Amino acid sequence: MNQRDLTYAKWIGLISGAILLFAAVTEYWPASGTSLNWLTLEEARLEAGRQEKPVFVDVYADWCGPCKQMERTVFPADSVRDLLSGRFVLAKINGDDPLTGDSLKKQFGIRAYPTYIVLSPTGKERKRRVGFINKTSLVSWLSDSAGVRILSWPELNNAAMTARTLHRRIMVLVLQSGEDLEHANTMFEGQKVAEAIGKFYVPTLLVRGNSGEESLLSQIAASPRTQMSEVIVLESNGKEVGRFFIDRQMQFRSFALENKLVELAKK
Amino acid sequence: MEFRRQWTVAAFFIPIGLGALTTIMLVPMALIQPVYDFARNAAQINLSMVVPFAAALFCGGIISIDVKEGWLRTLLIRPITRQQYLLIKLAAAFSSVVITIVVAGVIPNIAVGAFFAKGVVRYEIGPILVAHTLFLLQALLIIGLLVFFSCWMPGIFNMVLLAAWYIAAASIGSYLQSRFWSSEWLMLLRDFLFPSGFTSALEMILGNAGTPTSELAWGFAALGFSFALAFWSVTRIEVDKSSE
Repeated sequence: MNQRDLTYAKWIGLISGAILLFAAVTEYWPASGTSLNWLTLEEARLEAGRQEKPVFVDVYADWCGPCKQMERTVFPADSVRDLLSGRFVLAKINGDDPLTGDSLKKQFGIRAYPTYIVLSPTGKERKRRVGFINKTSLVSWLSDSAGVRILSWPELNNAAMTARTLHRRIMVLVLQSGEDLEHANTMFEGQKVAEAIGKFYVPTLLVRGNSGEESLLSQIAASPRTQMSEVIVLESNGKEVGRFFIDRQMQFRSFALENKLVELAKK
Repeated sequence: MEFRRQWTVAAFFIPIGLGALTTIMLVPMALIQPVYDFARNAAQINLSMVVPFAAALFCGGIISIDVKEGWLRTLLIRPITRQQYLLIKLAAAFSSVVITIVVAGVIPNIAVGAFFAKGVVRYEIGPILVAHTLFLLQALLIIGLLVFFSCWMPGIFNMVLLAAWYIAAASIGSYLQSRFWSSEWLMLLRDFLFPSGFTSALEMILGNAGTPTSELAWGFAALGFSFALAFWSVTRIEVDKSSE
């Protein structure tokens, strides 16, 4: 009986070495298939309107490391490529482009690279992520259909009509960029805040950078761009009742936001 | 017999205590989640807590205690090989971890889903089976590593070493990602710093992010290496030579 027999260890080690080599090779050489069809933003918007598909916008810079890593390791993966090419019209924006970069960066409020934005077929921002995303997170993020509830709020014109019918005031939530969507959704989904809105207001949402919404923002005299989201309360005829910025206290204590909304409802 | 030796009075509290902790973690999730997904929640609690804790607590000193107490010497007087001894230890440890996963992971998950979930409860048999198969493989991998460590060091050091390895791999991985993103080889190395292939594979499967070929291959390779090291290490343990 050989107590020092290494046969098991050797064979298992050899087989594991072969599997490790296979793992490294498949990880190093991701799937090679057809490359993604990236368009300019304008082309993508036209195409999205025609196909009624959302637009996936990749805002990048030539010097940006994570952008290159996404390009090399994430976008070529089968699952990502299938999802992007099947469900979206794809657009790339070079943030450093001397002709269009600055205006597009300003329009979308880009603060870092890479930024990924999902626009509806009508050009309204739906989601945003900043920074490197691994393929699993990217697929989950893009496939997430649970949605952001505040996106289902009616548009300003419809909200005004509903407010007239229901004799309520209009609550306009102004976000500085789509990056604030998910956070704002969490705040406004809170039970007490949602109850206050349901009782007193017809809510609507405006996001800076969304096509067609800049004119609405100037129409309701939204404050100039800041870091904070703003709430403007209007009578159903459009006359302003009051406004406030959502400060840190309101972000972390929902009763502060609720109290302010109730106060403006009764003003 | 090895299985019975593991289940001391103190060991009975491991699954019960872990089960209580997982219940405490799951209840708030059940109250806020619009969809209570059994497989995803199982992945979250089992991979982050139940599997590593159960494996560490049952297997931290799995071999070193036998050497210290002279049990290994007693066994080797009998006609069994070190390889057979190791296989029996692995089987006993694996059975204990499986019982802990059921008591601390599966039962609380089903109970919380049934009694506390506010949203829709989703029990999809395919993802659940895949998830639990991968938990068991991950458990085997950690057991293999702890057996290997335990041939050389006492129990508490093994747990600390495993935790330190995990933290170091995460820190070095972040550092490489931020400083050496342009180096293809270092980026490749980063993916293999910690044996997390089964965990990554499960994330991909539950996230519908494609077939996790390289992740599964990395998981199986790491599992094989941990067993190979365990088999090699067990032959290196010095016991009274007259006993063998």
